[in-house]
Amino acid sequence: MLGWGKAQRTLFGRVHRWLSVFWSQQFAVAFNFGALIGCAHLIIFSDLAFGWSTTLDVEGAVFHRVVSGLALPWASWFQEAVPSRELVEASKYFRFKQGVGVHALEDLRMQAQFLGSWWSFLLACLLTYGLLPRLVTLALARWRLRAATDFALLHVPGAVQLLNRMNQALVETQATEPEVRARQVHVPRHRTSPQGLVGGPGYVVNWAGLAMQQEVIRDLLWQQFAVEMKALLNAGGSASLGEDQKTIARLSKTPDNQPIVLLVKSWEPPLLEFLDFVRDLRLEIGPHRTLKVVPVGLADNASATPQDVEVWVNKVATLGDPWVEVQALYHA
Amino acid sequence: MSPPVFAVVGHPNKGKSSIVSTLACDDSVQVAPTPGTTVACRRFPMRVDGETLYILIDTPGFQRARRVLAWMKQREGDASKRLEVVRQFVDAHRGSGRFSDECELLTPLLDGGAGILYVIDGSRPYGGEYEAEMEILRWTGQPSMALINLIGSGDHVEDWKAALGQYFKIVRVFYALTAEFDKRLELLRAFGQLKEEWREPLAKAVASLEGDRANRRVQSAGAIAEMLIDMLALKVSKRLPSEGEAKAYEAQLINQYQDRLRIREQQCRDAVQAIYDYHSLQREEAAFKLVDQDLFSEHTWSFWGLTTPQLLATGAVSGAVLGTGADVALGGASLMAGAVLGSVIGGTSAWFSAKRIAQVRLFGIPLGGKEARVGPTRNPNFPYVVLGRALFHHACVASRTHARRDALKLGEMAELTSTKAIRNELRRRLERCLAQARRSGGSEKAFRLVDELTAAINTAIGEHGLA
Repeated sequence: MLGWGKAQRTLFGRVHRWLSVFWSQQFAVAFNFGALIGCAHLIIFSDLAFGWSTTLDVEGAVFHRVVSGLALPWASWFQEAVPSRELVEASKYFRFKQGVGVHALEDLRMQAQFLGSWWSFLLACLLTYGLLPRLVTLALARWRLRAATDFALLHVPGAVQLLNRMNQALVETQATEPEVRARQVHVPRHRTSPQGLVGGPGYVVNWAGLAMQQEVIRDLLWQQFAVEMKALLNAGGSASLGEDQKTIARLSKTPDNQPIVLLVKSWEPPLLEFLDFVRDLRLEIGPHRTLKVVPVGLADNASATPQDVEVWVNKVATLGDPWVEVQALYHA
Repeated sequence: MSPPVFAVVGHPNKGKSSIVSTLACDDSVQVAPTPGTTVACRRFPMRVDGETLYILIDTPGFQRARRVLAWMKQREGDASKRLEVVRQFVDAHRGSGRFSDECELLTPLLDGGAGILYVIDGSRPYGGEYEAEMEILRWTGQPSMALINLIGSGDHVEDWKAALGQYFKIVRVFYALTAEFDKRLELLRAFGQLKEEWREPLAKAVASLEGDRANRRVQSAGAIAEMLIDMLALKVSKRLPSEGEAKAYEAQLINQYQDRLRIREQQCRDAVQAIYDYHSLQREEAAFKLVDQDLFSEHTWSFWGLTTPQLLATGAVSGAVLGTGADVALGGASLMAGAVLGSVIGGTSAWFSAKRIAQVRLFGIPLGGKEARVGPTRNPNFPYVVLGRALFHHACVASRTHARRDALKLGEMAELTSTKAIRNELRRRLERCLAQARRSGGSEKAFRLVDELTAAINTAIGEHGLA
């Protein structure tokens, strides 16, 4: 509650202040207007005889100067509302004499008419010194209130965003629907390989056109795994599906106890096409023949990055075949 | 007329999602090194006030391209029937599960007449396994463009250009992770070249994105300006009994003061990141070379802040602002002596207070007792240190792409964003605002300064060419 009040004060403090001023000036204008109406009512509906008096020793001339001073704002264009010297003298009220008039005017009728002419001065005073200043302060308060309100509204939290939104086109580029997430399937890895690559003759498949000379492959496998390459076959990549089948057919005729090494590009992701090939091959070579997937990298020593090997290991594991395993090259 | 649609297609794991993420400024796209992250098409409509100007579609990668092509070739008629064969393939295999990725990625090309954006990774060598998928795309007959993305450090771009040129009329290099804003716009303009009727909506989209970018920059400048004004006005205080010893609370108050400054700075950073649509971006501040060193460290101070001569000049400006106020009050009778004297005093005090952020001061409070207060800071260099760091952070956020998933680390752009590099005239303009902000002490008048300071900071960002 306290925080709310403080926030309101910060945002609308100036608005509140000017609102109070505005209301008070409205009241003041209404009051002055009422006074003016009341005065006019008395003047119109009753017979008033105005007089002035003082205990001090003030001459009529001095008092005339005072009222003339007060009447200055309208003296030039509203002569009727400027009391004359005669009127001032005539309307002085003395404490020891009955009635008014220092000169004891004989013609009482004329005197009464004369004394009544103060009203225009009084009305002009009310207007000039009562209503008019209040109207000015009311206008000022209204102007400042409006400025304070405008300013406060511009600084209400969110106003800038709203204005931005109204002045700028709303540009949206993001997706309208949430992404469909790939199913996370936990695949146990078959680490218990019945036999690693520990030498002996073997057959090699170059998957997807790995750009390596036959001799280089031969040396690599010999140095890394002591595997003696009996034959190098091609599959995948730009080879046709028919060529893949020929490779499978050839491998099916090789001895069961000799492993098959599948050389793959480690930097390319393992596709379902590759897994199809391994499944087809497995059908032809029997369930227990060792298949080793060896990811070859772009490094000088042909080793793959651990991240790439990990991707291949995870994908090959989805085959659920304990006799197929990813074998990383040792770092030379 | 339906808006242009562009399907981003290609081999798995070659940065399709990165390109979409960068172009759509959407960091919710899954970008992962494991292949097959994208399993279904996802649409990214670019809309301006609800009007769709183009749609990007992220698609899964080809998994069995050779088998698909073999199936199609078995049914091949003349060239005019190829699109029909592709359609037959999708109809025959939709829902079968075997070719789900291919059906998913080919559908927008058939149904929506989408343009093809074929993405490859130019950091890895070209291989024959790509030919089948490029051939399938050619069979659809849709307008196409090849985009060479660069994910790793290798460079095989020229080989790729030669190979892609066989299948695509337009081949462009676009590095999704590092593409600057104007490069992204350039690419969008290029999309418009694919088909005559796509040119106009794409040009409109580019213009809207440029306006939107400028707007974001102003919003960021506003967030920085508000932070500066808040920080300049910040103070923490504690009431003490009249016999209380202020010294005992000094460390606690200064800690509180610094914590609040840090929190305010972090809020500004979050705001700037949100303005640029980064909703899950982490900041690795501990790893920052410069920023991790506390706002108050000597090194940060000397790096981001102004040099002593610059400080003298700016101190003189703020002194002059105060002095001119006195001249105005005297109706010019002082013959501008106030401004001159103010400059001298401002410059001198800048010299002496350059090393001090804030100190504990004691004030009497009504009804007895004392108040120990820290802040607001009078250090003339303080707002420049804060501003330098904020400009640096903004530059890093603005130049980043939404395809990146690493934490925000600040690097070698630092020198550019140091406030030392701000030209003198602009620095004087900033100083005038900052001097007023110091005087207003966080009162309502300070709100008025936000707009002015925002404009100055926006100019500073623009002049550094970092947005």
